[in-house]
Amino acid sequence: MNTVEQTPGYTLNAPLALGVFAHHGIVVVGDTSATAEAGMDIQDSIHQCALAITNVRGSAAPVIAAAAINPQPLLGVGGVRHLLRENPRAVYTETITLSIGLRDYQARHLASALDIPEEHWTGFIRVAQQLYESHLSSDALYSEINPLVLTNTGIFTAHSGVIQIDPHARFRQPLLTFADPPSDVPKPPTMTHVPLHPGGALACIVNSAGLGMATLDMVAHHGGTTAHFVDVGSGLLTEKIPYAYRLVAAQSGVKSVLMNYFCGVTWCTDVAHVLVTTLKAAPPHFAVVVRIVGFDEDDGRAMLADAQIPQVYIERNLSNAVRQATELARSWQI
Amino acid sequence: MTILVNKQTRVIVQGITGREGSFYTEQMIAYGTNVVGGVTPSKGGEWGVRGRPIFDSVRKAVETTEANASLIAVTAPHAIDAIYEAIDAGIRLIVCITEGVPMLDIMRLSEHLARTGTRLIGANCPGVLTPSESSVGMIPGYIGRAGVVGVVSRSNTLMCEIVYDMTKHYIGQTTLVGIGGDPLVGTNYVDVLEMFEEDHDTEKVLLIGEIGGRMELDAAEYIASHMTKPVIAYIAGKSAPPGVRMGHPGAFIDSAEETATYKIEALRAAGARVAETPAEVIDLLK
Repeated sequence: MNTVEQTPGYTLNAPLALGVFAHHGIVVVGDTSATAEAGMDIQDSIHQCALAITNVRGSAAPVIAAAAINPQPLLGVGGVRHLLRENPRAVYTETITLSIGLRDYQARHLASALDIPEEHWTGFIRVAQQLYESHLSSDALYSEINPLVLTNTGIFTAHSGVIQIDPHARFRQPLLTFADPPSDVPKPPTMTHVPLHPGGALACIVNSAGLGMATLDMVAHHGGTTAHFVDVGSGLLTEKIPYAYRLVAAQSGVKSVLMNYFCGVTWCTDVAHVLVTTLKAAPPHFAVVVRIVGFDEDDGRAMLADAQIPQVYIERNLSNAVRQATELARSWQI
Repeated sequence: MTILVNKQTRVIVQGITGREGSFYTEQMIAYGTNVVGGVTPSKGGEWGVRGRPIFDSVRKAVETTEANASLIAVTAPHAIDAIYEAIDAGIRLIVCITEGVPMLDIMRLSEHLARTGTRLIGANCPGVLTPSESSVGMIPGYIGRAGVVGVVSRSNTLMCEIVYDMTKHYIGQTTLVGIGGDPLVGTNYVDVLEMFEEDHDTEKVLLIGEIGGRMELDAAEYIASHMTKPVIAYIAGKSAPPGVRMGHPGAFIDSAEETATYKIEALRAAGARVAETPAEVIDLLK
């Protein structure tokens, strides 16, 4: 079993997820006290398990996974995914070919592996199929019923669960309106701020995730530690560059800021113009090392140099820029 | 010989009249790419960027221009349909730069790609550049220089950074392939390594990877078992903390196997030479 899909999806929590499951015909019991009143005490059930469907990174085939709950304690929500990662042998899985769909025999394999009594296999197969339909129609990356309880009256009931929805399906998936974004979604959108070592002296602002990670690695290579990492991404740099700068400037302890911009299709002069305006509007009380390369880079660097903003150093070579910023983070006196 | 695209590649742009479509078409033509037309339903018969003809459908475009590659530059809700349309019209090389195509759609598409023998690069990818010949996508042409190193990367900007540095050091490239950073893409590292291994002009391969997923580990396995050409690699994200998303949808460490350190070790064990920093790539390529 390869890595479970872990792109943070938008999460539909238990009540909403159960609503979606119910829409696909699964019997849901959200409130355990009601369950008890109806004589369907979880403790008194025939069988309990957790059932999930997950997309797998790098694979076109989703996986259905089931784990027994008795006699182990209840797994928390997301428990199947956790088990897949930590203890894959405790989970039974079947890989689904999309064009063929989830077949009865696959669900039967799971039912058998889970030791569900044979007379209830048909019921289990139906729930598995319904979960699969729900997974597809909600553009889910991950769907889980947990626990799935076979009551002593012989009915499979979903008591809790979760659905994580693919944010890329935004344009067609009404359920996303009700979903909670992942906790690390950047604000404003398309910009990422990762506080790595709050209180530290060096911050990096970059315009790409890959370049950003490489920059962090180089800082570490030169013996430094990055306290804050901001990726402004592409587009709308006139808004994002000043925002990133203000964000970093507001962090306590920052002594040196490394700005590393590779301008592939944007112009270095455009970026330089925004930088000059930003830095002049709020002159830095720390050192700023700007490294811009790419389209029209000589003019871009010249614009920055001409602006003669105190505390701003301009570099062309990435290694030199990293070395300088790291050194300044150590020596700068505020 | 190079891989995927060359001077003879006849390219159409689906979404040629859109903001991104017209911008990148302009860049591609300026670079010398053989862009033979574009497709925007309802605008057939008009003339687009630099006088390129616009067609209502890919089928008509192919009939008229004998296009054999397509750049998909339409918005996310229309991207998957545009890909199916291109396949139906007989196009067998599709580069999709559109960001935000749902994973389910790419999963469903995968079987159709295999059945029809279609090569999809992306989605959400920078595209393909064969220096001095053809650029399909958004990799800026000036960063490259014709030569003997094949380059494959998930990240666009990091690839630009390193390749631009190579070019400044007179280390040229056969073809640059940006496969994209989504969790499921049409073409992965192994596919591209296979192509470079078979390409007569490619003498060395540079693989630029990052944290998250297992794609680099699959590449390591392939290098160990199939590659005869030297592979130089750089993996970004050694200092990325676990559980934090670093910007790319796929750049997210969830298990020990997805860390940069693990991938670097796997690649080294497979016989690749791994650079510690982007700058060191140049030394290893010399």
